Amino acid sequence: MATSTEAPKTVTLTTSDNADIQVEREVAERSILIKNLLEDLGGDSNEAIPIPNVNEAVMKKVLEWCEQHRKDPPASQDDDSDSRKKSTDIDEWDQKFMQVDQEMLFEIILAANYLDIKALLDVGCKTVANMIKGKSPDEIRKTFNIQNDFTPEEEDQIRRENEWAEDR
Amino acid sequence: MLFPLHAACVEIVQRVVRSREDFPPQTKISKRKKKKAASLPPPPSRLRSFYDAMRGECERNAGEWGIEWDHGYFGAIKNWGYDRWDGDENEGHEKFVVDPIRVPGLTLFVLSSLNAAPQEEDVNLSTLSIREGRGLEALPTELLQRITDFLPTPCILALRSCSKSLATRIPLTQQFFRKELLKGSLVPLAWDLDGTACREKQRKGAEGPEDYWDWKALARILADHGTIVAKDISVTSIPLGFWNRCRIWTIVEEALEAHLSNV
Repeated sequence: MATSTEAPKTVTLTTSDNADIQVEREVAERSILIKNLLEDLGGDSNEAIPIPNVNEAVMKKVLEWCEQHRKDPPASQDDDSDSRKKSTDIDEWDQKFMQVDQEMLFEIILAANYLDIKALLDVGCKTVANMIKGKSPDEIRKTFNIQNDFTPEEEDQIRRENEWAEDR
Repeated sequence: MLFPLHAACVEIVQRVVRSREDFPPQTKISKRKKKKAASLPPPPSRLRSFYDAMRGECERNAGEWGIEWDHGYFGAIKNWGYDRWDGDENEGHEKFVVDPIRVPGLTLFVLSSLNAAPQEEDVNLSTLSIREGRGLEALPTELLQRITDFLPTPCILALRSCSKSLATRIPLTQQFFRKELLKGSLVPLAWDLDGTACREKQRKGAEGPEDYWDWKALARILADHGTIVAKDISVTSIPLGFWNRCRIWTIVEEALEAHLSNV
């Protein structure tokens, strides 16, 4: 007879720097990529899942998010018909979660995209969007350490292209 | 003295104020008013600021019909004790009282103004010297696009003004203008275009050599609300509600300009 104290199923993920991370299957399956891989491998495989594009530090951070959101309903697929302006509101826990240095922020975004975790990808993109909002080009350059590599002529061209939309 | 406003006008005021908040501080509009704008009260009280500006105008320009501005705004006329819009003497004035929020036929009218583009325009930057970027610049274009999905148009324009790499990866194509138009931040007064109908039109393609619709030109027409207001509506097919929306939008912008210049 099955008991309610049965240990949760776990899976092992092998990161790009060869670290093995054991995690509950339910948590790992927030990633559609991992979910599909596990399904392809069959129900009770103990094989480690290679995650060649994500290192240990980033994977642990991603799994922290997956743990927090393990009970969330599955993300809806992108709806192309929903072209209206999207909200950049982020819930409090996610805001704190995203208080990381920029290198880690972009690594999380890349990992979320690779692992196919749409909700985490959205949180990452919203965080970057909020860092851009309301800033001038100079302020954006400073924020993201971007070098202004336009020639004066090119800068003038970009300004002309943008002008009418700014002065609507 | 109270200055009465229709609920529809208040909604438009809020939309104008919100659309202005999208502008980064270095764009053309805010360059002129950066210092003054910085001294404005925070957003929640801006509606009150606008109200105060209108009331100030009311005291200065009050006439028989309320505030007599160039665009014929008379305030919420019923609250002034007049109800003469139905009489013969006011024939042709109906356009001033048509609902500016719910505008039947708006998308149909807008799409009828859409023409084939002469050719797709690309950003013509020297790509030879584009360097390898880091961080934001190093993100794949699809992820950069996903970030810009969350940004209002003026912020996207500010972003693409940062470097060659960003400018070439966020090109101002017809697709960009269509997407931003439907998003509602390129031309904020056209907030209720029917996205499904616009996409259907896009799918059918234009009858031009390049098969592109000129969404950029369309956006320019819609953004120029002053010109729309000046049109003789008896010889155009502009829905009256949209004409009235453009009229109120123009008045609100003028009032905000006046308010900014008085700060």
